[in-house]
Amino acid sequence: MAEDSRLVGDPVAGPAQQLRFLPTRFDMGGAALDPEGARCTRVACPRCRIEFPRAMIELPSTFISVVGAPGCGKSHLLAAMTWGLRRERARAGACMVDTEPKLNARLHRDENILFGAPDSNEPVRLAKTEIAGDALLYRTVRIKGKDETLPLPLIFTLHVGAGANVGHSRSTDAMGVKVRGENLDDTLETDQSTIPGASLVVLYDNAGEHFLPGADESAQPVTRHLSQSRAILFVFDPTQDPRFRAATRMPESGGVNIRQDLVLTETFARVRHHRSRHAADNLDVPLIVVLSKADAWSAGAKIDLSVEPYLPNGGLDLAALKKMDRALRPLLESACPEFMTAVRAASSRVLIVPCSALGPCATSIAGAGALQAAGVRPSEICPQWASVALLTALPLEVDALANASLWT
Amino acid sequence: MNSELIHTSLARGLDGGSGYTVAGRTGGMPRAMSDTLSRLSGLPNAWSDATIEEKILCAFRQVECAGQRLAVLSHIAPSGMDYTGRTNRLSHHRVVDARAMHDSDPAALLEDDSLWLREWIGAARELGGVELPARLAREDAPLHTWERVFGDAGWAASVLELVMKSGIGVWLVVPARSKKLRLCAEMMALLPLEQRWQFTFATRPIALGSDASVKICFVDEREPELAAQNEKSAWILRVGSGTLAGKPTGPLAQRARLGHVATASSVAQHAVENSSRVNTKVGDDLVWNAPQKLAAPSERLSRVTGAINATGDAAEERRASSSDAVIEVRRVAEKSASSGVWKWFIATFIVVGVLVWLAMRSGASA
Repeated sequence: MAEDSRLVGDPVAGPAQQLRFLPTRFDMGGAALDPEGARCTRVACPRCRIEFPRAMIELPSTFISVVGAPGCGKSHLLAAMTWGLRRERARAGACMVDTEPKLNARLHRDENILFGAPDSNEPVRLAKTEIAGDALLYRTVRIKGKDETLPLPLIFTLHVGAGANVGHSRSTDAMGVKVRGENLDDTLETDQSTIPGASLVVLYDNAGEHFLPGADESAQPVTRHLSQSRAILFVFDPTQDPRFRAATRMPESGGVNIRQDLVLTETFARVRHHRSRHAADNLDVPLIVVLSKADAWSAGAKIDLSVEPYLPNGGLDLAALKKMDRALRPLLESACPEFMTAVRAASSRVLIVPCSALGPCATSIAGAGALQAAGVRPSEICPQWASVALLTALPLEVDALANASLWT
Repeated sequence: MNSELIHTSLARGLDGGSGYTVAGRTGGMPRAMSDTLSRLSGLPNAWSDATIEEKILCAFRQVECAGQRLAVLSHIAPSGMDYTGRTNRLSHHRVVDARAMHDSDPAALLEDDSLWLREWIGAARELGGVELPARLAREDAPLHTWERVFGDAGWAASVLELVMKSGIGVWLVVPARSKKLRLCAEMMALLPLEQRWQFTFATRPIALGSDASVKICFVDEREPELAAQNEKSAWILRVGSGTLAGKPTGPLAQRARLGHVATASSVAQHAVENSSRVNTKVGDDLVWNAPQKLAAPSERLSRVTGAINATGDAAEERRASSSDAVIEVRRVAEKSASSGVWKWFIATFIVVGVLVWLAMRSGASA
């Protein structure tokens, strides 16, 4: 990307963007020089010309897509899970930092709303994710004379084992990872000699409307990232399913009913389509079904989220995860059998994880006219299991867990 | 016929699906047009303490749809909470036909609140076609809002000139709490009616360079998207600095200040006089042809009034509504004010007074 202020305007990125060019001149340090001789440090995609961090060239990248129906809690979950991984590196055994902070501006906005004023009692809420028009979420580029609206990814540098103490049974260093399984006999020792200590995690968060059947448009190919995803986090909102609500004795307060099995089926149909896979092929994309808003239904489902599934020395406690998965499957099988059928048809590697992005603190904001909006007081926000789903999808864990009989 | 489309968050939209979806549209609207308008429905995120009025995006855009160029007026406003209890917005788009273009200008139509929905009640449904009433921007002289916001109404002329010369469009940074749509309407009043429908605009930031982009965005100085841009970019205009550093001169600026009628040559002269201050990057692509004939405000007014009178029953219905009657009275008042009746009345009064005084004096001496 040109740095000289006179080189404004790019035929693909847009007239207000700096010129993109293929460099032919470099300085002594190896940095490209733009046509006006300015030293360039930023790079852009050769096709869509959207800026991305240089680290994407230097480090391995893992794409993870967050998918779900409208209103299922994707944005809240994303803000809570990244906030958790920023703060709890010792406990989680991994931490994430923004690779290029300005490219994650939209996530910072959400994190600031929820966690930026921890002493405030003023209820807050995240705005509904826009389907277009928000410059922090989407970028419109002109490719071959046609406008295309593309989603902007959230890019993080992942440091695995950053908080673990070397010498403990669950320790990692720059060149390896050890994961403790369900019991001591299951302990795995995986030499990940090809994986460096840092890698990039690229997250995509769309509006739920984009995953509805028929929403995959050529002018708005906002879900094509599914074809590159190393893992898919499907956020299933039990409060949008009437039978799940009944099974967990949730109060019927005019809740919304959405066929989330169709959203999942549509998602994996797009995965197959964009990966050019045969309909009969078994997709091995890890599918993590995240049961959101657990604060509303965990008591009825008789599960306890007060203890996070981490080992004392840091890292995921796979035994606890497995136990939770086994506890939730029968509930889903009985309450939402069609959803579980869709899950089985979608992927052969499935893990079910509950989470509450905000914790048991839902309040309502009075005075918003006839309608009352759900809101939370920042001082009461206490996420439960929010980062767990993402941790299970992170590159090292996905590979290690593949052999740990966790995925069923 | 004018078409309209409503896009908001519903549990079930007209085409199925939930969340942001089509809540209503004119019956028979082609699917391609519906999809195109839906893509224009996003509302940019505003700064944290923005009021509801400040969050509203009013825009006039020209978009390509199935080989056709559509003139689309959009009014996108926050709309309480949706069925999930989250913040909602309602986008109301109107595709304007040639007849409406003849009778109205885009800013004036957007200023008429009665034309734009702010809340959707009930299930998704098809709408009947409606004719748009005639609305023209008030031709205030001087341009009061420009004068109040920027200290000199002549800036409207300078900005207009830059906008018409710009190939990519510009963002004009305006002070907090400015009435952006009024600024736009006043600036549009400097253009002849037939050119007003070439003047695309928005009152919130819209990215430049796409099919849906506009010639000018009036951008509040608190907009988060403004902070993300390079302040030195040639397409971001600030009154009093950069390309707008010099005091506006020329007949068009004079007209903005005093209401003097500018001729085509005076508009062109204004452009020439200020051309040295125009940034070449901004003005590279588009050549603005100065209006060949810029009719006097009173003449344009009578032309439009005549058009309204000739429209038969529809015009009768419009005249029956109280709001239209008020506008009609205001037009007549403005017409009489601008036609100089009062000046003639005062002059006649003075002449008659002098004659009476002379008659009395001659009678007394006799």
